[in-house]
Amino acid sequence: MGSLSEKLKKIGLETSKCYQCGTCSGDCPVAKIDFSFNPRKIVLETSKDAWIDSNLLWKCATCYKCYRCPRDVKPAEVFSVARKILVKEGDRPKVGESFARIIKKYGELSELKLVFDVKGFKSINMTPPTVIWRMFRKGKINIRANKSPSADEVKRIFEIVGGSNGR
Amino acid sequence: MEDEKLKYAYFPGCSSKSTSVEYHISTLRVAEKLGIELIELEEANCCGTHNLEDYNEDVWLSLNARNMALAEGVAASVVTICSGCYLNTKKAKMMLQENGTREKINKVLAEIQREFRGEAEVKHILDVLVNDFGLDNLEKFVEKKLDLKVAPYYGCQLLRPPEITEFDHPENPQSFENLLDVLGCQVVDFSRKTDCCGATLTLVDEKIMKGMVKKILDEISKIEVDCISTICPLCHYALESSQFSLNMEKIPVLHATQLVGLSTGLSPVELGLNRNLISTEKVLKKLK
Ligand code: SF4
Ligand code: SF4
Repeated sequence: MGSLSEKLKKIGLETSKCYQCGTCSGDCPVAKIDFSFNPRKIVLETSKDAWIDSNLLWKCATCYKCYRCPRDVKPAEVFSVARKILVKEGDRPKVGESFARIIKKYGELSELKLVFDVKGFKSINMTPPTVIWRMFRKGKINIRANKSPSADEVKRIFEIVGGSNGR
Repeated sequence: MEDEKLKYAYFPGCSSKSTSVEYHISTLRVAEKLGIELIELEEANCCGTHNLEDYNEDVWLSLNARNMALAEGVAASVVTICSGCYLNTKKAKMMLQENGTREKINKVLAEIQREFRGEAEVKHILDVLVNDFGLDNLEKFVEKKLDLKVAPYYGCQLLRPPEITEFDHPENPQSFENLLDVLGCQVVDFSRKTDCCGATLTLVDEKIMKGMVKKILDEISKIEVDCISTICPLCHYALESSQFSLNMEKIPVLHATQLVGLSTGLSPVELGLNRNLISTEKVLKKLK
């Protein structure tokens, strides 16, 4: 087993190297909008093996603005690996699960199916009607339930690999 | 250059069939015009994005290895038009160099009669146009200088993390500007050109996404450009659709390939300019 920080260390991510300068938080576009998401603080909590809310980790936009970390802690990578570890321990984040389900079934993503899979009927409120209408008129809404030519092999890959949504 | 035609395996990505169909179409037309051979990987699968990476790393690695295996039989490099596909494919390729990982994933691929050899180089269309084809060469194809004031928006995943993307400066890149310059555009520099549009968060937290894209659009609307130009289908969709939800005065958003096409003599219809969500009429009128 081992703690989160030990697991991270094993693959070369040492959160204890962080000296709390806050460069990552200053650069992070998500932190500027949602104050609950503070990369510096999440790195600190990770190094102390405190409990981390998976929902918080999934708020990272993977934009890698935090790449300039002077201690090369790689916050974005730390959060990615932390998400992976939590999933292995049984966490089932809705968006990850939906991506896996749709890709496994069709081999590719259809925005429409994905949005519906994650948001259900609430998806109607997500996009202004003018945008939906324009997308429809311009042939941008892929309504055919077509599978991509890759679909069979993709499904096989999920089955062979196993793990989350594998079987 | 004259004697050897550039040839690539082409991985257009999922959005080429829906939200960004005109990006895909204009890429094909421009490549044809410039004599760049693109061989579309019809059997390619989704890159999975970081969502699948973090949810099931081995499946994500296998899917990207499969795409690269498809490309290996076709050309020395595979080109994508999506910055998300670009980062995911390149990151997977890097991870597949690690001891043991390639063997493990190749065992999976063997069951579907595929093999990842790690031979295909992964490229983004901007890199292909600016560096492989080259701007000097492109200049010879320019039939019409585009008298437009353009804000080039890079977004993130083509540029960062630099140790994976290996393309231009992570925060102050110039490739896009240089490309537009050759087309005759008046290029504006703006501080948020490499900020994140937030598209990856659309389904996680729409409020954050809206906040992120608003900052970019607010800055651009102050500099009064004729259009924004993008190099990623997700950025394009975020910048276009958000202008409706933000109820702002509309600024057209053109894919870089659409601008290249317009200046090399392709028609608006060939380039799918009638399929952008925000009308491109204003831009076309100015070019008349
Ligand atoms: S930039 Fe690096 S060292 Fe500074 S707070 Fe963030 S993770 Fe720690
Ligand atoms: S990658 Fe995540 S943590 Fe880093 S700057 Fe972007 S949103 Fe913030």
